[in-house]
Amino acid sequence: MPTQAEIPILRIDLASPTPVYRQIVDSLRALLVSGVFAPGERLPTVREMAIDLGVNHNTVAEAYRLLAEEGWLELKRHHGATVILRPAQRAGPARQEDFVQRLRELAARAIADGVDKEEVAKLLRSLAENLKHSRKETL
Amino acid sequence: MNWKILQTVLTPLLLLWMLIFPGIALLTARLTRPDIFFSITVEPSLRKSAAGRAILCQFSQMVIFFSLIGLGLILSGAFAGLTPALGVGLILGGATVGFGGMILAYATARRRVRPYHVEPSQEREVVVKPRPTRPVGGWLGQAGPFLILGLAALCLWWRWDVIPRRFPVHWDLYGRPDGWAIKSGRSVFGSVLVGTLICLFFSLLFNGFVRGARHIHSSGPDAEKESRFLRTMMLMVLGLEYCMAAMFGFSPILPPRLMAIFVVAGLLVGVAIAVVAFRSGQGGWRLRGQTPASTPGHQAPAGDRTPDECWKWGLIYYNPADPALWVEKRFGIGWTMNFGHPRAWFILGGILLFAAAVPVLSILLMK
Repeated sequence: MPTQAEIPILRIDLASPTPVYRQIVDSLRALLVSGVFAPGERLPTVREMAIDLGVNHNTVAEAYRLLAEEGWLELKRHHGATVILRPAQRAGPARQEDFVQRLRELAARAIADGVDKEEVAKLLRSLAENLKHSRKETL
Repeated sequence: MNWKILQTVLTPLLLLWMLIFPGIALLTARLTRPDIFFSITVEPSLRKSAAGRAILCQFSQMVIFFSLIGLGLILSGAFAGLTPALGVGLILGGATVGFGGMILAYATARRRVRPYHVEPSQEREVVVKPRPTRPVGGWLGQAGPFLILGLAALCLWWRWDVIPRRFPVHWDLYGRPDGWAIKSGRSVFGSVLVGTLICLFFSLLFNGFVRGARHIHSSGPDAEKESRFLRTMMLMVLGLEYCMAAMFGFSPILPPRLMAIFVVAGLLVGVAIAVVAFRSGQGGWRLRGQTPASTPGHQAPAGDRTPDECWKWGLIYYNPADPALWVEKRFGIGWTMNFGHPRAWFILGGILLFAAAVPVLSILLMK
């Protein structure tokens, strides 16, 4: 039986300025990257997820569609979304630069909001460690 | 109009109503989720505060007061030796006063709770796992009542000669038969058909709740209590289906004394459902279990994940933007329909049609 920590939970905030479909995509991608799901595993249907989140079916369907475009999911009519084996991606220099820039901005935002610099560094290290231990094939 | 007959019919019905309904109203106010008080989202601490207790106390006093007046009027109308027409008037007046008083008590309590309204949390969470396809009790467990009815149909056909010329089709509260049918193909197999329809209705409705209702909590002790509550209620309803299947299926051939066992068992399951509902509270929040870990800082109450403004009088939920067809009741135990859902009116029509069709069908098939 999975422990509490292993249960994949997706959280969104309806009051957040970030669109709901984007929050779903980001949360699900984080779960997919961490290797919680094995290839072939099925995700909840659009209807089930929309009911529990209290959002429109189209919002969830759009999120699934974007993740399918990124190569994480396979969508089949009446069968829902299935996690698929995603080939390793190689980010180009421009993409890497964009990522570094966004990470810098995020860290700066956290520090500006009052999070301790040491704490930010510790969180980033911990995140890096977690990523190292997640399944390689999903990365 | 025969006032005497009307008086005789109305008296026990409305007396029973006036004895049971206030009790349900008084309990219901205490069984809703802690952060929902008279259908309004509040801080969970409100209920136990002096203000919360005062509101609850006033509600209870009003319900009891109007119920006693209602009961008094009904008893006067029935036993004071008045003319039957006046007696019926008093009986109906008593029921109106009692019921109206309860509505007034509820509306007053809601008005007093409104200043304590808080915005519920806008955070939502979901377990990223498909809901189990296996129903509560398993496929075989769910099919059981229908297998019993099928078996009963076979037995009836096989043992046709043993079926008495007259057999019971209705029983009183003590399990004694008080309605009879004359043996014919229509009356014998009509009982099985009605039993099948009733079991099918319960099965579809409650499995619809399991598959279509929103999970308020997805993780932690609250989610565990919620799932225990749902499972227990489902198993109870399944138990009721088994009793009804046995009752309707075998009524033409089983001796009345044996049938009484099934009737009493069905009633006991009904009482057990009420007891479990009382012990669990809405969504199982009163069940014993691990207390949720407290998080630092203030958190908005989760409520039932529905916006307050979509509840009419706190009883009817209308939210076209919500994809859930079934949501938790705010004043009561169980689920209610989202009347803003495109399928809601079709399903409500189906439920009403069923409620009307079963008695009519029973009379037509079993007379």
